Amino acid sequence: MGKIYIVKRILYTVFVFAVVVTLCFFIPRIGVDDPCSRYYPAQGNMSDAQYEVIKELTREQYGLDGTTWSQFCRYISNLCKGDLGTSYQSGSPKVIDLIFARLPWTLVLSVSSMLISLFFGMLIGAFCAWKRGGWQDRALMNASTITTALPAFFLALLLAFFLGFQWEIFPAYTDQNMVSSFRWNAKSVLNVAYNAALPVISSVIGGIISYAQSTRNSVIAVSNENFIITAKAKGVSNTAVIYKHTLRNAMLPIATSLGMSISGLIGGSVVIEQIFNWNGVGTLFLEANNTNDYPLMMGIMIFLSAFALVANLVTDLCYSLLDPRVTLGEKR
Amino acid sequence: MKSKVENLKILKNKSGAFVRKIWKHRQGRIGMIVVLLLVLTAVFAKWIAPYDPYDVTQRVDKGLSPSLTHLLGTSITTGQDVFSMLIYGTRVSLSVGIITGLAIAVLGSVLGVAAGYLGGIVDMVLMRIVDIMIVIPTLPLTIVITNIFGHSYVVIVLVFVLFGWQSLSRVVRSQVLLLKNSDYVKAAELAGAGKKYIMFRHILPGVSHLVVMNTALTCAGIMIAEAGLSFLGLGNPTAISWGKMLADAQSGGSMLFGHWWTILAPGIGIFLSVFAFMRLGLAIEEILNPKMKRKSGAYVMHRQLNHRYLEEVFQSMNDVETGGTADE
Amino acid sequence: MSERVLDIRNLKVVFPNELGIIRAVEGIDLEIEKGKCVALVGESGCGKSVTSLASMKLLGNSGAIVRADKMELCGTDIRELSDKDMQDFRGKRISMIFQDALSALNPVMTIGKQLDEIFIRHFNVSKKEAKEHSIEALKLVGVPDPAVRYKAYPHELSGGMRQRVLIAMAFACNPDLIIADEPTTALDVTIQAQVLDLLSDLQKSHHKALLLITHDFSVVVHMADEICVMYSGKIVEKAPAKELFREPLHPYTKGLIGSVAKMEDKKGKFIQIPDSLPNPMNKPSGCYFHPRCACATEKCKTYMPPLRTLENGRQVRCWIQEEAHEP
Repeated sequence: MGKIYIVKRILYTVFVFAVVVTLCFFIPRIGVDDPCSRYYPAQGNMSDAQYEVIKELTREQYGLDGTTWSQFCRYISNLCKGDLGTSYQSGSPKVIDLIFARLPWTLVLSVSSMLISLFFGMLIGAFCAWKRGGWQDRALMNASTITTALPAFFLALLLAFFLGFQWEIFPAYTDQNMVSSFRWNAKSVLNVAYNAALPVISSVIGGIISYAQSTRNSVIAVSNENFIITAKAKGVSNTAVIYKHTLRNAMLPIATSLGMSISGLIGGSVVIEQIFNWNGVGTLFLEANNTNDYPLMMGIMIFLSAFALVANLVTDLCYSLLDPRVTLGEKR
Repeated sequence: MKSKVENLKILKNKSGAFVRKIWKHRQGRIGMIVVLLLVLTAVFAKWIAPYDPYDVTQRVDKGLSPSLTHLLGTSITTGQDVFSMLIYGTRVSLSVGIITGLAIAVLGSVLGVAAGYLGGIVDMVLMRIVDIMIVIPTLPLTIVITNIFGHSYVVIVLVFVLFGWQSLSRVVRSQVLLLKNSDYVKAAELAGAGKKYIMFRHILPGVSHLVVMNTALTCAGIMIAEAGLSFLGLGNPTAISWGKMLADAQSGGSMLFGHWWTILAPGIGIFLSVFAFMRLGLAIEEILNPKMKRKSGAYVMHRQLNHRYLEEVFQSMNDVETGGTADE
Repeated sequence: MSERVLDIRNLKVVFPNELGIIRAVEGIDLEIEKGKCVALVGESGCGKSVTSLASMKLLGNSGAIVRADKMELCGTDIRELSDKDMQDFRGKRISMIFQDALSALNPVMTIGKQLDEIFIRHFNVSKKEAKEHSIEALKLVGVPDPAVRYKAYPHELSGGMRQRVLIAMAFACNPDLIIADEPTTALDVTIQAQVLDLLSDLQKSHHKALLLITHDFSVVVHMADEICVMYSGKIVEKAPAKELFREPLHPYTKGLIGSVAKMEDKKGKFIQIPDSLPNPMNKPSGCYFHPRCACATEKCKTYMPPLRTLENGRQVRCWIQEEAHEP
């Protein structure tokens, strides 16, 4: 049962990925006769025959020669080898190399934001659940109504304005030498942390509040469950009730939302990266958009989708470890 | 069978009662008032705004500080009156939010009902589409599509609709699966009612509360997304929107010159409109789904409790000998 | 002289909330002697479960205000006992069986682990010893393959098995008093009988005091020595089980017994009680039962009758009975 489910789940993931890849391949070709047209050099005083040769060479360079179908087959076979095509950028770098060069920097931001949000969110949430109805709880309630309506980029701008420009505590623009001069030493790491402070703070504020809110709700929901009274009726001490019974069950919905935020780990920080000029995958995508670098855009899209798919798969499989009621294949 | 006029009348009475309920709900009232004010601002922008920001001749010096003539100063990049831009910006934000929200409500509920009620291949195909759409990163794909099809208003609304219907249709579908097995739908099927008739007469009304609940929240979400898109410079380039105002302020160096008002004004505009729609949505949710209502903590009650009253309550529970003796 | 396991005098519980005060329990006397089974019978919402939770001091987090003139558990006054001291009582001296075994068991913990907890907490044994005790306890309540079931999660067991597990937990530390709160409501009728038999056997063989809480008279018929009928937070009738069935005195009791189908009932007619329980926040004047009572008089509408002890030792709260027994 379990094994068949895992195989099915993986096959389905592959199917969805195939659909995504197909979409990503064909969307940029909608309404374009010759996807390469904008990259041909000027004809100048070349004869038409000569110019055709030049054009053909250009097409070959970008993998755009032949029929659309043969292009598609070639793209897929390259993809299987881990090659996402060639960027239109000068020097024709490989898309996958460009992505991997930026990926760590995006992950630095998003992973640290996620972990900080999760840690403080759960801490505050559990505390507010304990003090339910008290002023701390109501403060969390009000804070969550405000932060959910507050766009992260507005918050980021405010932080950049006050902490960055007015009080000059943290840099409002990322030091562009940070990436090139990075070495694995304390100074470099501290420099990264210093530059990452504002982007992380601006995405963490909303994150903490939303994790706190969901932790609070699920802890309260669980502590109203009958099995908590059973545990107390057995004479189990209050701390044991909280650690062994309440928290374990309250973790379940949090694990679900954690899984969702993991799948958005790379794609979710486009705006924040743009505001702070952070050299991540998000800004790479925006640059690609500004230069109409379709292979790069599509490559990033496919990469992000693959990441999300794998994250979903892993979350689903892990969930059954947390909740024995979810035997693989059937959700509650 | 009731006539159409009667049906309309019932609908009118029902929605009237519903609006009254929202009004009684404190949060709902706040949301409703703010939304109404914003709609009025958008509609009468021409008369409220002191200048016409679209009129090139009314542009003055760039980056003026707030004064009596220019309440929020002028834009740092173009010299438009920021206050007037703020007023006109309501139009884009609200119209995109509301139009998209309504379109999603229609599309999401129809597809959800179709998937849930028809089942089989329709359900399978629709749900696979939902699965795929959820995996694809929304913002990047939106950027790609606007890159290809242009940044016009229509394209932006269509893209938001395209990416917005999935969660609603999922929720609707699971509700429909419950309704499908309910006795009244079974009865209608046995009576020989057609699938279309049952879908629109029995199932759709059964999920309407979910749709209403979701729509206000969807509007709020779309307004944030629209602002984000405009902020990235990917919105309609000719329209004045709050997101674009923020982007201009940032790129023009408002921060460097300390022009905090050019950031704060559009930001608060976005916040206020999103906040209002959210309040409205949550209020509707609480009204339609009373279980959601947050119980106010018992601890607070203890402190507020009048102890003498409590003593009286406890006293009144004791057995007294009145009556028994009086009657003898 | 037999010893009293539970002795509660004048227990009152209210729940204040934003709309007013919910009067859940309004002055209840309850005493149970060793080896006896007392049943607390009434409709759902009449305050039975609150009474049981209050006697275990488990109402802490719910915002309840509890008052009592006397609350003694095995001779110890538990009213002023700290929560920590109370934890030593719970599970060891007094334990509880809940109605819905699925929700009463932690879904993400094996039943074995949940049983172990009790032994580790109260006997201070190692995990290994606790496991032996747990398997023994499962065997006692007739769970087949206890060593295998020890590793099962609650959702993997049938409803009857789960209820047996709860009973095993309740009897684990050999407590003096066991409270069974609607132990069979969630079960099929055939399983109900099995579980009741098991409960009854264990209670008799271990000579335990049992407080059985139920809304179903057919459950208590064979088990209870004494029955307290509760209505809207007050006890309306208290009598030995056999006498109560032979001659119910309070109109409410008559209605409750009447609503249980009886084979010998030739007329094939149920006596029904119209309407439902009064709102606990806004109770009627006079006797709480008068709006639903067929024989209510003017006096019933104005004055709450006291709980009177009749010559034969039975107790009833009704003006009509009062007058009938008036010399």
